[in-house]
Amino acid sequence: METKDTVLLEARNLSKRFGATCALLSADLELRSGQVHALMGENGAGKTTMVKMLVGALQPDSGEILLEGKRLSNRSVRDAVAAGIVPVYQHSTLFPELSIAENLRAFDVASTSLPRLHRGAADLAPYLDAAARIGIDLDPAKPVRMLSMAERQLLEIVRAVARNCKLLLLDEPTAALNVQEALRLFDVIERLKEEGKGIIFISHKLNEISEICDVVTVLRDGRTVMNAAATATLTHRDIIHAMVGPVSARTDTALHDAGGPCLEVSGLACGGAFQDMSLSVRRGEIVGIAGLIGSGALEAGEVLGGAREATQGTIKLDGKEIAGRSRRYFKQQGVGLVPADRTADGIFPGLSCAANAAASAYDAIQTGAFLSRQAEYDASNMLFTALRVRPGDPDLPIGALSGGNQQKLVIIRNLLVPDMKLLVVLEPTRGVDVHARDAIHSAIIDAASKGVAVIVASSDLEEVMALAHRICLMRNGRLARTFPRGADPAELLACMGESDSPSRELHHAHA
Amino acid sequence: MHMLKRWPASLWVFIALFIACLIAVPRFGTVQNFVNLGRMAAILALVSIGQGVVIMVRGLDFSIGSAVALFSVATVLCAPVLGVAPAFGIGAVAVLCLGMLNGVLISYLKLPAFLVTLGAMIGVHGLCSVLVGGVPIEAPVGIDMSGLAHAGWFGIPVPAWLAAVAFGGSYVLMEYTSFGREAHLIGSNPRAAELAGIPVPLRILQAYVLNAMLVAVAGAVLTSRLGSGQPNLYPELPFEAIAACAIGGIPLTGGKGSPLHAVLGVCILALFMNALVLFNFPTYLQSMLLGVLIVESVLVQHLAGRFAWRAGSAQMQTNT
Amino acid sequence: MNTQLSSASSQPWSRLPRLQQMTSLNAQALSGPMACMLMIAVMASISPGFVSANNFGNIFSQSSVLFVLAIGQMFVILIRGFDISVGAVAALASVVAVQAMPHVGESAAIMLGIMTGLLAGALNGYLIACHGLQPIVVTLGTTLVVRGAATALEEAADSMSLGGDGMLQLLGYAAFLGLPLLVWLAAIISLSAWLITRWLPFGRWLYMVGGNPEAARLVGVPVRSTETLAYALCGACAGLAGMFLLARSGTAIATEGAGMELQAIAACVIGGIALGGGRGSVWQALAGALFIQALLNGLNLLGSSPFVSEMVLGAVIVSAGILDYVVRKFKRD
Repeated sequence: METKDTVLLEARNLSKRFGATCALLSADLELRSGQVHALMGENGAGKTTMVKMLVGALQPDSGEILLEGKRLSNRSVRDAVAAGIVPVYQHSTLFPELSIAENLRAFDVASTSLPRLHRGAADLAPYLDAAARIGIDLDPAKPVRMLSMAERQLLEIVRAVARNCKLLLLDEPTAALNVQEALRLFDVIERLKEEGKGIIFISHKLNEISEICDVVTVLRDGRTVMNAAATATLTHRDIIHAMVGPVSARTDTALHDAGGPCLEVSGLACGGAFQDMSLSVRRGEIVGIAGLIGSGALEAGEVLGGAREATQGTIKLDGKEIAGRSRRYFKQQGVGLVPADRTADGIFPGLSCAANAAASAYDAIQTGAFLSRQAEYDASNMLFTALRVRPGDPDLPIGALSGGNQQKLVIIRNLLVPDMKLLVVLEPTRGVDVHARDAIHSAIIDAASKGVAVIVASSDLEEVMALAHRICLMRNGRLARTFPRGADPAELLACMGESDSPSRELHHAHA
Repeated sequence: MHMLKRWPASLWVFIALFIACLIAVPRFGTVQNFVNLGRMAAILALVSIGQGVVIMVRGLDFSIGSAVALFSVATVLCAPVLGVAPAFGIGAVAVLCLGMLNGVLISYLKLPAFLVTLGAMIGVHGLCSVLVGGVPIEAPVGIDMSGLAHAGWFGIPVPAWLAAVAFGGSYVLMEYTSFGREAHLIGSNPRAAELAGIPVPLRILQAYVLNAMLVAVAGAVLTSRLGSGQPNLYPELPFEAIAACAIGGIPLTGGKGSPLHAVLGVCILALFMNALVLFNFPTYLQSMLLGVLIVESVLVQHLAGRFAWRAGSAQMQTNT
Repeated sequence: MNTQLSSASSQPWSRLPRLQQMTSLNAQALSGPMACMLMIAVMASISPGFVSANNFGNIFSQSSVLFVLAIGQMFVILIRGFDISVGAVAALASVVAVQAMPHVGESAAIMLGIMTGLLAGALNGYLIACHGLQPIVVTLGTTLVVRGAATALEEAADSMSLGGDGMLQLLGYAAFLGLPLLVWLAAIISLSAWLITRWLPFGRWLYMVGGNPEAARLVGVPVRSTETLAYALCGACAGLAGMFLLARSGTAIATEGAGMELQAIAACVIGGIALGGGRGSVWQALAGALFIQALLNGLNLLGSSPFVSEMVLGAVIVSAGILDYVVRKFKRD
């Protein structure tokens, strides 16, 4: 057993660039043995990149990771696991068709070359011991597919402990758990602490962090802004401040006046993601939907844009009910959508910039039945210049452009939607450099000035405050409060940090 | 240089191969040989263009061999009763219904394309066998179907004209209409296409129906040429079509390509086959060649794709 | 406080009953044998002469080739693949063996035939596992090449028949306890395959790679080697099947075996071996093969034409595939 409170894992000055985007600038982490260490950060903070480096899936450009004082050079997750760093993800690394026993011994089975004629109890002993130590009973012959998510998670932990892992990295462990299961997990974590294991706990649920974690490290914009601060001394507001950072209410950009009513939303809900949302947006108005991850802000944006189906409620666009229809119907009614995940849902890899930009506008730009390349160019040309797409050659494959310029193309695609009434933009500047960010913001404001109703759902509070006439703040799946333009950022942060119910209660799984 | 880049690589392969054949293969450069080549290639060109469209939307159609067999059987069975022209119409309707069935199962029920079309291949073959009672049936004496296959305009056989028209029409459709653009988008990223407002299942169904139309024309030519209904009319047809598309440069992963690629692939394949015949190589070499070409084209596409990814990985963005 | 990781048992270290543990029986695993018995019951009631010792003997002896092919197919279906070249490979193996026999003697020729299958399978495995090409395309290509090669060898040969009294002739005609020797051989092969999947680490690796390839990589399973070897084994089984065909008919035919690959895949799917991989056993493959043979046998006894049989078989194959897909999707959602 390791002595308590020695430094177990140290990450110093990690940095990583992907092409033109800088994912991490200088991230640090210090984990001690027997410590439960929360790692937090909003989208774009660099948390995912850092985690990948810690588990060996990615190599840092610079900086180093030390395990018990020794420098690590893990080329793969397998190396990291062999060194004692074991990740426990939401997608499990178990074999559902095999038994618990076979899953526990998977590493051993993978490395043997001799046939085993007896799979006796002796081989399982270390695993069953580990299970008993941390308080879990096993039926070794049971197939894993019969176990619940919570039990599978515990099984992975047992396996890691039996193989003498030094630290466990739990990624959003309570995402799919109910209250009892989460409490059971916390019990197990306590036992792991007693054994001197280090635990990195990745979560966005502030209540859990306060309850189970000893210290918190917060990343923002690729840097560590709060390094192993003791949770006992922090309030939720302190943590949120660290995650969101200084928010200047930069409302220097003048917005035009809004016109008549355009969108009426009432009682909108989507499974467990958010409930009971009501909202109205006028022509030319920009409404921001802001919130931390898990607040339902992004999901609300997806439903309003037609990418996700609502389970309850109504969406009326100019009086016409559109909730529950296909994305195609939404677009035909004049709803544009800029998806949150550009790479997966936004761009058409391998195709030209012009093809990417004109994808939603064929009805408008074709002459009779025919559509020429020239028509595609002409339609998008003006906007290419207006948004300063670089390089501006419409024939180039989209893969040659930076993330920011790719995002501009997705925006152009929506600006070309004929008779657009509502534009829903999700995470407009995620993974986008500063210059592109300005151009994209200008394009959004410009669209509004032409009478389009705009909804911006973003986890970047500063962006939402700069763009919106009104800001709807989502918290725990509900619309908490609406703020006017120019509101004090401190008030928003305070609202984010309020809890709805008296402390110590855990949240149910989100959809 | 920019202009040259726009021409597919397979064009240069074809030209080089053509010149090589002119030089090295005996009896290659004769009018008679070109007419023969044209006749053989016409059928393959028709179905390869269709297969190319289907592959472009990430699909595959193994049933086209059985489909042309179905055309021949349906036509020959109906001809004594309805007359030649209506009988051909029935054959076309049968093939179109098959294509639509495939399309609906694949696009709306989201069943895997290879499973559905493989099943169709087996089922339709069995159906044809049952309909003819196991033995190919000849059209009765007095009914002449050979008009289509053996006629010619200005010395060029009608089938070649049909293939040319099909090529022209498909090229315009795929390159110059919104249907074609949307097909490219769907093959490139189906989810993004859906979010951009493109009716993805409808377009995929339309792709299969378009394929069926071209297959029907090919079926008409084959039936006309042979004058009989045969369940085993052309079982290798789907494999030759897939090979032609792969050789011509249409990746099986979808999103890229045009009828030009398909036709070039057919030309290259036809040159190879023609050379084999003129050299008096035995027929089994043809199927071996086909197999090697299929695997080699896919391997080359895969390796080229990996190379491009590595070269472009510095451009890759990520969400953090 | 101890936490239960299993709602079924209240004692630690308790085990499922030994029999259940040994054979991992569960509802899914039973579907194959149940389907088989259902088919036999149906055929028994509608086909004249189905239920007789002689007829059952027929069914078993006719299925020996399909048994072997289905076992080979099981190996690759377990790792989420499939191999449509096995029919052609079987034909090639038989042609190679017949041609080699006058030169190297019977035993060596048989070995050569099996090796041919092994090599063809290894080629498939190399292209699929090491280069990541799709199984459908690769095995399609090898089918064409192998078929062509078989035809080439056939045309170059004088005789395609087994001459005289050799071991293979014996296997084809002799019987033991009422069943042809071929059936007993198939049983031995099945047993060996079962042992491979249960006792050899390679067998466990097959289930791991098919069940969760990422996890398999993580725990250190040599994924590429496992996949390549699975395809090689499938090819070897095809080679064996070729020897069986040779023994049964006495001649090697280059166009033999066409369509048997789909029957072999169908046998596995009907037996309950999902195409999604990671699950299945030798007995399921055999149950599925028996199902198909009983179907064909029963239809034959009913006097239906071979084409109706083909259509029914085709419908069965397709339904099995679609059902498998639907069940998989249903489980995932």
